[in-house]
Amino acid sequence: MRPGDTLVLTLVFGSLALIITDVLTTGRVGNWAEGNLFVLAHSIGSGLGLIATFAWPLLLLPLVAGIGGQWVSLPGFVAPILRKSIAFIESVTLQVGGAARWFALGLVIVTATIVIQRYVFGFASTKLQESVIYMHALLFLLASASTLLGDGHVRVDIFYSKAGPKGKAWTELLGTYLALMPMCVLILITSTSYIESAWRILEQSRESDGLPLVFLLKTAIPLFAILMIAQGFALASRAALTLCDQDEPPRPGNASVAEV
Amino acid sequence: MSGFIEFLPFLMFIAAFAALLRGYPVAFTLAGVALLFALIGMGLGVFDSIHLQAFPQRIYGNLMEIDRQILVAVPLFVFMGVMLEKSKVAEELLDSMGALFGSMRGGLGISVVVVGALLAASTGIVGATVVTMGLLSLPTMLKRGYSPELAAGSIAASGTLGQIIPPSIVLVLLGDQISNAYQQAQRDMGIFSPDIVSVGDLFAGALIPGMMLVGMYILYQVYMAVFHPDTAPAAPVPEGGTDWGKVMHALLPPLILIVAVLGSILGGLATPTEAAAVGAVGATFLAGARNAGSSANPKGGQLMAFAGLAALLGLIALVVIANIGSERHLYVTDLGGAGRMAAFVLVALTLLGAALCLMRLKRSGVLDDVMASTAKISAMVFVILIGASLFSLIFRELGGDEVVREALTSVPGGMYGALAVVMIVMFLLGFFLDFIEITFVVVPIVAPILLMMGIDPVWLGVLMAMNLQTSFLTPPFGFALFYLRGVAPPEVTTAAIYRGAIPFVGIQLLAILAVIALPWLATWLPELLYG
Repeated sequence: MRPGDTLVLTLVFGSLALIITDVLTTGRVGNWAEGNLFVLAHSIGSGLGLIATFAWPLLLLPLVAGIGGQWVSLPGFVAPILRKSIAFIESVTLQVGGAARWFALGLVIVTATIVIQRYVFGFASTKLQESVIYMHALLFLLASASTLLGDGHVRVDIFYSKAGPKGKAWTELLGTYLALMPMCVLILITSTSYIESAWRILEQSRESDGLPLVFLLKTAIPLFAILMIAQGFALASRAALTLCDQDEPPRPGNASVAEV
Repeated sequence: MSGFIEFLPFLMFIAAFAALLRGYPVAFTLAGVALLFALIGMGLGVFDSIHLQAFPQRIYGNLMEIDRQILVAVPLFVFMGVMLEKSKVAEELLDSMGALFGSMRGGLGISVVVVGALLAASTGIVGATVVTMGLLSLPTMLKRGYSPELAAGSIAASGTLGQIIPPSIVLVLLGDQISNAYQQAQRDMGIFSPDIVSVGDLFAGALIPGMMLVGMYILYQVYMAVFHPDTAPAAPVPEGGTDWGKVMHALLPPLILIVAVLGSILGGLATPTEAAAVGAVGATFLAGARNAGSSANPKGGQLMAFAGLAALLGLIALVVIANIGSERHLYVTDLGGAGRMAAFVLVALTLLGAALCLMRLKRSGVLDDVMASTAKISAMVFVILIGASLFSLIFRELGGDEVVREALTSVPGGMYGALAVVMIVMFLLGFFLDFIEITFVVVPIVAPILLMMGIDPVWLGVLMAMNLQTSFLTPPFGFALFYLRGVAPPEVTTAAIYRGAIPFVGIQLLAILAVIALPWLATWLPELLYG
């Protein structure tokens, strides 16, 4: 088993169990969702929002540590906190990215199935076609954070490749706070009302025979932003440790961030 | 003050450029610079934050809506290419082509060009092709006495063919952007039943120029072999003559795969996305028929893989048969009892073979690598699209569109003058930015303006693709040269790589001029195929 495989299996069997329960109880699950899902999700979302409102200054810890560490020596508790959060965040990133990579295979199998259905047997399923777009979107949205960890997002490396470890660390630290985080925070803030209205009506496909899960698909957008902010925090922490002449933990090298 | 506001979009471009050179990932740098200028714009009262509200909706509409199916072709083609790469198809191709042509003067150079073109058509990933050929062919060519210049130039140039020879990822993304731009241009001109240009059109348009480039590269190899024989010597004839079986074994399967994928797109039978899925399954069979990444290669597994591949090709043949002739059937099962039987048997065989290949590839770990690489490249491509869409949104709201339009329409020489300016700017940007960024940032801004001047969309797309390809090959900043530098042995100096690339840049420029002078090179085939 590689990172993420358990997550995929849990999700697959969890959804299967839900579907089977729904069928066995003649639609109770669906009815429950229609009645309560929005209220439940809304209170969870509000709770998370409340935490974020008060906890966001914590996100600045690596920035403060990295810059402040240039003049004063860090208080002893800072580096262990940074190391612990790096380990935790990156394990989550790898789990999610590892799970997302299965969508690549899913895309191939489902699209090929659609092609055979259409050209050989002459029928088409809207649900199956929509599932391709879902997998495509989840593939790049959820694999993006592990790609960031694996340094897979393209850089203009004419000068970057020649910079020393400290120069690179400055680029990481400032880039995270001036570019990555503003973009992701913008996505988070602006998606609040967008996602709320999707959940309020449990938005379905525009086609009557399509998948009824558009509200979940749209939720992947803020989820992407959260994963990226978290991984950005971890990389900024690494940069801060380097800038303060502390050892950064080794980068996790494994298959889910394999080289191309 | 108003002068400053008019200057804002221009400053935004300069700032983005400067920030990008710092080396933080492009996708986020573009977004960061855009947001900075949004703040400045808000401070000056020329930007309304309401435009930012729609950002999640833009992401959803640009990337996740059901009618964006064409984008799915990208991960599918990547899957196909990575699968072929990991299953060592390239190695075998180079080996057997070298054996076939190596004993001729200039033969190795020709085989590098041919393999480059084949890999281009199957993977379309420039970096991967240059690195593979640089690792495999460069040492061989040097050992056989090729001049380092010619060897390095041939490999770098052949590697960039991946951008222009369809089905390439560049053409999918470029085609999609041009298609959007074309619709916008026609809407702006008040045409309410707009013509549509598709990725398939661009594939068809790029085919002849791509083949022309391959031909010109080969001619250059022949020229060097005849007039400068010391740069491209012949290899000794291998003992026992050429092993035709081995050559065919290496050459035929990928060739058939390419013909099937490209043929079904150009024939109008399948969409690029559908063809890419079939190509990905075909590549899985090819990988399974080789050793699937493990050391042992049991006969049974090999047979099942080939049976699956044969069944898949049989299905394609049945679909083609059903679609031609006087009576056109839409589905194979319409062919009557025999057709239905055949279809069921072939589908069963395909499924069985595919399942077996996937299981073997999973066990050997190749499948995990392929899935991880596909996920990584998809994330890389589409996250840039997210950042770039924010950039072009804010650029547009700050009046950038108007500035660019005024600049382009005031260029002397009308349509051709404007085209020349755009091409030169893209060429220079190609030194610093990957094709993805250029496609997502520059094309949506300039293409509608150029198209409104009456430029043919397919012609424009092909020219842009060739232009970027040339840019990636041009010293001192060409990307392909960097990739090659990374894998070339130290005795090949950077200067030798640069000198080797220059003649190929010349060939590229000739080819671009030819397409400019004779637009039918790009537009004839799409018109023939799609009317």
